[in-house]
Amino acid sequence: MIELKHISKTYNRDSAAAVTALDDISLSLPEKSFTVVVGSNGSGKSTLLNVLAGTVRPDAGTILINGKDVTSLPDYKRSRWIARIFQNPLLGTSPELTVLENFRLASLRTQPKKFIIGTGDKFKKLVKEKINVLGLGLENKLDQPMGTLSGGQRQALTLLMAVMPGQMNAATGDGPGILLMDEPTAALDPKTSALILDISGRIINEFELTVLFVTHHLKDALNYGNRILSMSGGKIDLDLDQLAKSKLTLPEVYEWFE
Amino acid sequence: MNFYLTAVLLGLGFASLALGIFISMRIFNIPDITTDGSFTFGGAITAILLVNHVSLPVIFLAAFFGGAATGAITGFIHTKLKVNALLSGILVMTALYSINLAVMQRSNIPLMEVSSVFSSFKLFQNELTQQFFVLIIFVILIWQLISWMLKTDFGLAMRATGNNESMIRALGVNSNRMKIIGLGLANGLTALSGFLITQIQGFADINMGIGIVILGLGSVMIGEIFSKTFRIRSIAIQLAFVIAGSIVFRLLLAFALSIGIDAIYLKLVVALFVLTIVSIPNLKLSRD
Repeated sequence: MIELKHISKTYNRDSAAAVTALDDISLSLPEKSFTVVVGSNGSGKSTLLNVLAGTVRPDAGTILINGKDVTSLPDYKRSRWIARIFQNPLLGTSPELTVLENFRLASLRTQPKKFIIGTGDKFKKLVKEKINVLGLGLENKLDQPMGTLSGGQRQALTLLMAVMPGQMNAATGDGPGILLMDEPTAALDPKTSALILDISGRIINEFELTVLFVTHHLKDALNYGNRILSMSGGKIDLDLDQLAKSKLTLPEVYEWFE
Repeated sequence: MNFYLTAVLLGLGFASLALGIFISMRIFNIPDITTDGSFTFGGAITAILLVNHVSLPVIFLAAFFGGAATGAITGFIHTKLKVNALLSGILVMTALYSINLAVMQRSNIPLMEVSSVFSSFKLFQNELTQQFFVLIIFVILIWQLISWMLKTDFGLAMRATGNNESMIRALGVNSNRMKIIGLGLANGLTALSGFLITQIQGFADINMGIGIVILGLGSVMIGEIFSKTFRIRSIAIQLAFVIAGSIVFRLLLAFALSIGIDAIYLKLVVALFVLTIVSIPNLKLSRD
């Protein structure tokens, strides 16, 4: 459960160039919900995501995750609950580390990184099995630097890295994981986009993630998720539940942007 | 022949510094000028403690942690006070000049008649052979230790910090803390070079660190040329090539001196030499 209470954020507050990105937003995202956010550029979608992730500090308001006030926690401390998929497919992985080493770091998301070598055969086997599911043949490239893979491949692996075992699961008391996706397919070709969305769907279902999905693809906005928010000027204009969302048509959504 | 052997010895002595530059420059993408000061700091600590007959292991640790502290301060200024990395290094380097003078109490400390790391356990009669032996063991140990460290979970997090900061923060690592530790380690290694070089040359001098960062940079770049040529991905072998780069660099300088270049122009030669290795790849690119 994520709760945002009266969140406001203004960039360049004391100058003539002040921009209100979030204007007194209150929102609650129940566990295992899948919320899609649409809105034109500058509507505050990305700021909303960044405020949740902790990379942007709100000027006012509180953020609760599973009832815990995390407003003053920096991004790297919120990572125990929150995984992110960035718009730039290269931002989710480290290019000079191998695929295996990237997965090793991802598997330690909620744990300290110690002076032990954890990329042994046992871990390799585990990652291999994980990657096999993608069907991209990447399981044979574990020892290659991540930077040698394409953007689409890296985005697919970033998704898998978000749900490495031993993290964000109910058993550790951290509750179901939260996945923030900021236009994850914006930089990818249509075929790869479809693949990434397909993998996302599978992972979200399997791991019962709570999802906030920002997109400019209105078709995707209609096809995915069980709730849709439309933002403009830092406010939430529309908030439709599953039933209302299922009745939406593409022309109607286009009209929001008129 | 001894002329070139001395160059090899210096190359080994500066290997630790080259590894330090590899960490700050290549792993964290931070051009860390603190090096000029932390190298001298390591030398100053070594000299003053040696003449006061402090035991070598204590001197070794004092030099390392002294250097590490200077790097950590640069890291702190850069990450917490949000000062540009280059300027942070210049500030600490400048401040260190006074600190080094204060530590040494004068601008030069000769190490006559004091036992050094090379004389404490005598295995070879020939002084150069003895130095070579001690340095080789030292460099291999440091190389193994850093190689291992960079393969651990902590080391991976360190490498990812310089590589992709948003990713590593999203994976729960405080990247600022990591930079402070990383610059600390880099300058600790640099100070260890100060520890060794002081004992190789038999004195510490307040100006011994001037332009030393370029030396490390040149070594790292020569190492990278090797790594690229042989398509090396293993971090351990990359580091070994950086050490080799440090030796090659010293040999090239020895060669320059042997063909009659005046020692006055040595730093000019160093600068031109590093400029050459930095610019060659760019020139190749623009021709395509």
